[in-house]
Amino acid sequence: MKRLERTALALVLAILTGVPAAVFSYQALRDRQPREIFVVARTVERGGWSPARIVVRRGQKVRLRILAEDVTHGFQLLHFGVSAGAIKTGTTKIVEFTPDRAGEFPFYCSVRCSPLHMALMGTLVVEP
Amino acid sequence: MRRRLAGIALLVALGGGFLLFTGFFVHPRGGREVEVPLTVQKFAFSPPRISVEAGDRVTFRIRSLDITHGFSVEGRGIDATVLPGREVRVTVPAEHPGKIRYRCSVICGPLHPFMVGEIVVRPNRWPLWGGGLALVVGLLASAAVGRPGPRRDLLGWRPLRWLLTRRPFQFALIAPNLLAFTLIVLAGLVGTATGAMNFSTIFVWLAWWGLLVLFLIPLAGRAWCAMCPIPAPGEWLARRAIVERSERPFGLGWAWPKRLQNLWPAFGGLLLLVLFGLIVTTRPLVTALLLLGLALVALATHLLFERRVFCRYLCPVGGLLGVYSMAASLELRQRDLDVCRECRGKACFRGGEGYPCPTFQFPGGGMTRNTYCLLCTECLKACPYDNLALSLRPFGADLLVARGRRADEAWIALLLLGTALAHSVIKLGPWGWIKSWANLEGGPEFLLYAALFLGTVLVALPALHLLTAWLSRTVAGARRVKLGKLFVDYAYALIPLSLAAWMAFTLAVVLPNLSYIPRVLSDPLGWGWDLFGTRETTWKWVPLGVLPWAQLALLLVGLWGSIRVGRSIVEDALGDAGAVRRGLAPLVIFLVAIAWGFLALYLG
Repeated sequence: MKRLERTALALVLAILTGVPAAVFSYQALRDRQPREIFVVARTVERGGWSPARIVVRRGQKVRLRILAEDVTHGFQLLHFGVSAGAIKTGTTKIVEFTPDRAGEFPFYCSVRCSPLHMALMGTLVVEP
Repeated sequence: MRRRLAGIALLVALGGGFLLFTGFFVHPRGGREVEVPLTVQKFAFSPPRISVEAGDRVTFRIRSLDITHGFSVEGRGIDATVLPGREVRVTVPAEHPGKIRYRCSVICGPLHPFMVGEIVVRPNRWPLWGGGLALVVGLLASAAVGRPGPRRDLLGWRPLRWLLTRRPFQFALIAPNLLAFTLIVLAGLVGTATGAMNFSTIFVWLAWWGLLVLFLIPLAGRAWCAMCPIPAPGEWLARRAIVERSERPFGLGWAWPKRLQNLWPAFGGLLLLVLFGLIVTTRPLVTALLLLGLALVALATHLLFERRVFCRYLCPVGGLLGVYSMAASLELRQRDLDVCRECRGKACFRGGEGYPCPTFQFPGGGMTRNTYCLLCTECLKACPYDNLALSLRPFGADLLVARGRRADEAWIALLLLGTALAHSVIKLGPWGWIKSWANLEGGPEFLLYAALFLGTVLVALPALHLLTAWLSRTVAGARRVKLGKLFVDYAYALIPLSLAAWMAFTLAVVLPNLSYIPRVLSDPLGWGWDLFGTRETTWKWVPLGVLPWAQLALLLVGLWGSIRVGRSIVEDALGDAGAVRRGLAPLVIFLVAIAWGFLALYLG
């Protein structure tokens, strides 16, 4: 095989494997952000909150980055007085708070997003 | 003399009546405050279309019945978010007659990019003027005498010839597209299901389609086929080489079945593609599976059959490109026919320094149309006599070539014209019901939609076309001409107009939605990335005001082209001058009516 042919083959393989590799490693890198939890909001029909259960520690500052993936959503965690307002589709909002009590607290979507909007609920677990 | 005077008087009376009837002399009342309650719901505004007078100020009281939507007026700074349960008031001044389009500006689901509403500002004379201009263009074009235009060989420019005869040239075109293809498939499979935020849907149906229809097809015919990544892996495997010329093919190398040596397989694929068009173009997963499926079929055909039979007979996009490439202003042909006649080896067809023509074309003589030329440049590399020319030529030159006209091509031309009309209604129109029918939201509704779509595209339009051919034959008094032949021949006259209609449609889809391109570049999978900081771009500089003018111009140019081609086809078919004059009339009326239909739809 000539050098040109080898280079072309290498390029093709690099494209076919490199694109997925780049995408997934970039995403993994972003997930490793210290003290930031990435939360995706989807309608109940599409699977709801992801993750639907967020575990944090009492007294430690929590930073949530919330992405509204399919339609406009909201984020409301009434027990700690947190409300992000409307998060338009495709955008993210960041909320920060420090849980001062342990327990399980529900969080909701605050902007009507589907007929099952009222069921779009997740749980924040604060460990002592 | 008196008969002529009477005729003129009748024309004037008819024209005046027409103007009166269409409200041409009505003065705008204007200046009112109009209040309109507007409800929004996936994926339509209700009422979808209102009419006001120029000078009015329209205040919408907007309420959402389901989820969060937006309200933005095309080409103006007006933009509001409509949260459910809260009424929003937006005032739109309607200064000038014409049509004001507004659209949803907060992504609300798959059909969001096509969620539009219209304010018709009276007296809207666009359709009237457009129709008049179409008539004038029709009359002028049918009277004009065509003559073959000059060709200019681009290969006379040495650097271009050098570039095109390098072996890695085609690979250099394919590689970047393979990169995009990989990302498109990946994004479609694992990225967000929201089409407007996924690289796959936006890059295929906005960027690629836009570039293809607006530039690549009219200027360079099937040039896309030279750089298409879909058949590339199969071809590389079958050739056992990516760049070099290899003599050891891999695979079974069967001949393609004779019964399928036509465009009917591509016609079938294209029909399915356009029938499910609204689903395919708004769902990333479907887009990815479609592309992947095409690539797998291409791979299989390359391993089983010889050459690029996938591109020649199967690819639905290939069928579309093949038919429209005849209208392109670029062609690859032999330079001197005598050299080809003396040539013993026929390296362009049988292979030599370059691969044999992948679509069984014979550039040395015989190839008189672009339809099946992929512009892959192998014949340039193969020909030992440098006897090929890549020439600029007048648009639509191949449509005048009588030899090789076929029913399958004619039906693709009809299908494409019908689809341009149907998709303009579905995607650009304000009518929500047909969008939800086409969106597979309910079984019976979708069946109704399918019946409507197929009835229009496969029955009504071809029937009108047949009627045109029959009328043309009858008034020309040319009974000896076969009706089937006229049906096929006249279909080629539709091609310039239907390409122009696709361009007008595409412009109206692409321009208002252009901002999605920087957005998905920054966040290709809809995972909240922001690679280039352009995730929330809204381009305001896009000149949407030129849209109606551009659509009008495109359709008139297309009509002009169609009638010129039509005239030449009628001359070939009917022969003597009197018969041609009479036989041309029905075709011109048909073409003007189609052009006017598009104008009325876009601007009315």
